[in-house]
This record gives sequence, structure tokens and C-alpha cells, in this order.
Amino acid sequence: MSVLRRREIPMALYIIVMVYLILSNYTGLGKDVAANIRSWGIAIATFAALIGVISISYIHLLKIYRRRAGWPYSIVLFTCFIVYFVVAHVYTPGYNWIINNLSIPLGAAFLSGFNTLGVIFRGSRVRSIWSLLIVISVVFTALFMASVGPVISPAIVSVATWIKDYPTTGVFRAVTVGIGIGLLMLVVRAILGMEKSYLGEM
Amino acid sequence: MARKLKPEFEDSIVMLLFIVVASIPMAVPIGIPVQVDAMTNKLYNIIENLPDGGIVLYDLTILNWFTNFQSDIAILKQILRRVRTGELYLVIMNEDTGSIMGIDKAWNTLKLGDLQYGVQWVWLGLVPGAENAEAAVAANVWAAKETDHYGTPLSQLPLMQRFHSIKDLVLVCTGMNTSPDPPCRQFGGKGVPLILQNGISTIPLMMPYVEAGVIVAYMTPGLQTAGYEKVLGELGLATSFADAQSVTVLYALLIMVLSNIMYYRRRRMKK
Repeated sequence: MSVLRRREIPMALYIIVMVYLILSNYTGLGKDVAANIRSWGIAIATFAALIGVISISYIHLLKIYRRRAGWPYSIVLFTCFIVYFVVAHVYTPGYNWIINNLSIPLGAAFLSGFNTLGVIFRGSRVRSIWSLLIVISVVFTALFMASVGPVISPAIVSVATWIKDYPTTGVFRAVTVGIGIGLLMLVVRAILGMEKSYLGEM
Repeated sequence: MARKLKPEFEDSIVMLLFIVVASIPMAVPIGIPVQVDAMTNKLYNIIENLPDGGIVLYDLTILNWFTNFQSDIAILKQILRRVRTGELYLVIMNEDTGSIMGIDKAWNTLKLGDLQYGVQWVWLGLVPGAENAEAAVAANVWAAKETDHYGTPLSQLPLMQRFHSIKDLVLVCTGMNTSPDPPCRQFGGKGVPLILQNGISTIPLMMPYVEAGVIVAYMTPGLQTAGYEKVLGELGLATSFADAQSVTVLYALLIMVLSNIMYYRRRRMKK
């Protein structure tokens, strides 16, 4: 196997860089080099946009060419992508019009209203005592989040504040601690060469 | 009849009625008074009491004009008041392309034209890389970004001569729409107050950080932002949506009840 294709090389690079950044963070040594390494991350992230363009073009053009399921949607998507891309670079007022009159309102309508309502309609069915508890919590919290809640009853504010401050915060504190421990384990696994997901391995 | 209705039609009816219900306050304003909570007052006082001459970093990350951006705009309005009087200085950066897309609308709303660019405020533009970008800017902004959004080298911007790392700041404000972990890891715990703008549903996620003092204050879209606009004395998007939010919440609760009635009725019919 070619030396360049050996996985030990990217693993070594990954581990050396990570150990260096950790040491630099806790000792303050080599801070300038650490800052430069982080800026490489920014440069790589910029290239991710290019990969996105190539990926979206490849996937949808292939889908249209082979008439795979849902190919008409790919035509719509790819056309919008091209129009948007060209307008953004050629005609700024048109670009602003698309953003302000299409992208922003549609995004808001989807995320803030329709998507949430769909979840409420399908997901709020009480099938057990546990789901009943969740639904009751949702009722109090939703009313608490709207100005109509305190008008209906001041007790809504008290109950919702209690739900927010004790049960949910307690659970999420545990989740946060769990994530922290998980990250530490990930770092240890990576340093020991056991974590290889960044090489595309499971 | 309800039994024969296909699920997709049920959804359509729910959505159609939602549009009708959300439109009611436009025709008949309800005018329910907005209450200001303790967290909102705390956030307002933190910004008011920032030391004169301090630099604030605002990391605009999310573009959803009608939700997260209403909070960003309201917070920026308060910061800019103090920038205009020469008490504070502002550096804005964006972490994702989405927030760049609608930025012209934000600049128009904030009316930045009277400020001296490069001296009173600077726009770094896109710093891609999410949490890595936050880490890079916190550690050394000059290594993370050589120019501002317009391509001007940082060395030519007077304000940037005083901003090299997070230690040069008096406040960091950032927005998320999911987990608050990344900004808390990269901006929090470094001796600089962190204000987080985040979705309403993420309050429980933020609370452990609030109690630990990592997040000094948070702002959520909707009612809290409406209360904040009331404190600011500048009514904005959140206030205009307060009534609509109230009726849609009531509608959502009605949908929950109807959904359960339909579910149990169908189950009984199956038996």
C-alpha cells in the first residue's frame, strides 16, 4: 500500500494537532501557532461551501438525467439554485428581493408555524401517563410563553416557572454533564487511536 | 366523516385554520399587556452598566427574521444607543452564510449610516467554521480574519487595534437556535460576560449555564423580546407579533385537544 494512503498518517496528524491544541490551551505555550491552526479550520470550512455546490449539482443533475423518483423536484431545486446564484452575483436588488420577499417569509412560515403545528397535531396524543405529563407541561409552558398566559391565570406563570427551573433544568443539567463526559471520552479515544470516525470509519 | 379524512387533508385543514387564526389580530387587535420578566431586566441592566470605552462582540449566527433576528435586532438597538453616544464600540461577525443573506435588512432596520465605520463599529463578515470560528476569534481574531467584510485589512481599522482576543472585550453576545454548548465552551468562562439569544424551546438547555454564571443573561424571541422592546421604549417586530403569538398558542392548545379526541374516537371505533 502506498505510504500516502496509509491511515496512520492522517491519524498521527489528527492526534498531534489535538494534543498540541490541548496543551497550548492549558499551558499558554505556543498560542500563536495554535491560533494559526484554528484559522486553518476556518479556511477548510470555506471550502465546505464549494463542496456543497459540487454535491448539490452532482446529485440533482444525476437524478434528473436518470429520471429517478422525485426528479421534477430536482429540476425546481436546481433551477432555483442557479437563478439565485446568478442573481446574487449580477443583480443585487433582485437578490435582496428574493431574500426579503421569498426566503425570509417562507422560512419563518415553515419553521415558526406550519412545522411546529404539524408536530403538535401528530405528536401530542396522550398514549400513556408519561405523555400526559409532557402534554400538561407543554400546556403550561406554551401559555407562559405568550402574553395571554398571565391574563388567564397568574398560577400559569408560577407552575411554568417551576417546570422550567426544576424538572427540565435538572434533566438538562444531567444531559450537559453527560455531553461533557462524552467529549472527554472522545478525546481520550482519539488520542489512543481508537476513534476513527474522522477517517470515514465507524 | 372524520374517519374518512386522509391524514394529509387533516394537516391542510389545521394549517389553513392556522392562517385564519393568526390573521385575526391584524383585523381585531387584542392588545394584551406584555409583562417584563426578571431575565429581561437583567439583560437590559447588564448592557446599560457596561464600562465606557468597552468593545462588544456580536456574533450574528441565525437568519430567521421573524424569530431569532427580532431578538438580535432588539439587543443591537440597545448596544447601538451606547455606541452612538461614544460609550461603547461594536464588532459584528457572522458564523454562517444564512445570517449574511439577510444582513442588508438588518442594517437598514438598525440605521447604521450615522456611525463612523472602522472607528465606532466594524463588520468582520463571515467567519466560517461554527464552533471552530468561535474558538479562533476568542483566541486571536487577527489570525482568524485578516480583513473585514469589505476586504479592508484589520490593520487599517482603528477599532480593531484594540481588539485582539476575547480579553479585550466587555461583552460577547451570540445567537443559537439549538444547543447553547458551543458558544458557552468558546466564549464562556473567560472572564467576559456572555449573553445568549436562543430559541424559546432551548431555555432548559441554557439554564445549567445560567446557574453556573457562564451565560449572564439570555433573550428568547416572542414574549421576552416584546417585553425587552417595552423596556427599551422602541416597539419592534416582537411587539407586533405578541397578539398573534397569543392566539396561535391558544389555537395550538385547541389542536392538542382535538387531536386527542380524534385519536381516542378512532381507537374506540377500531375496537
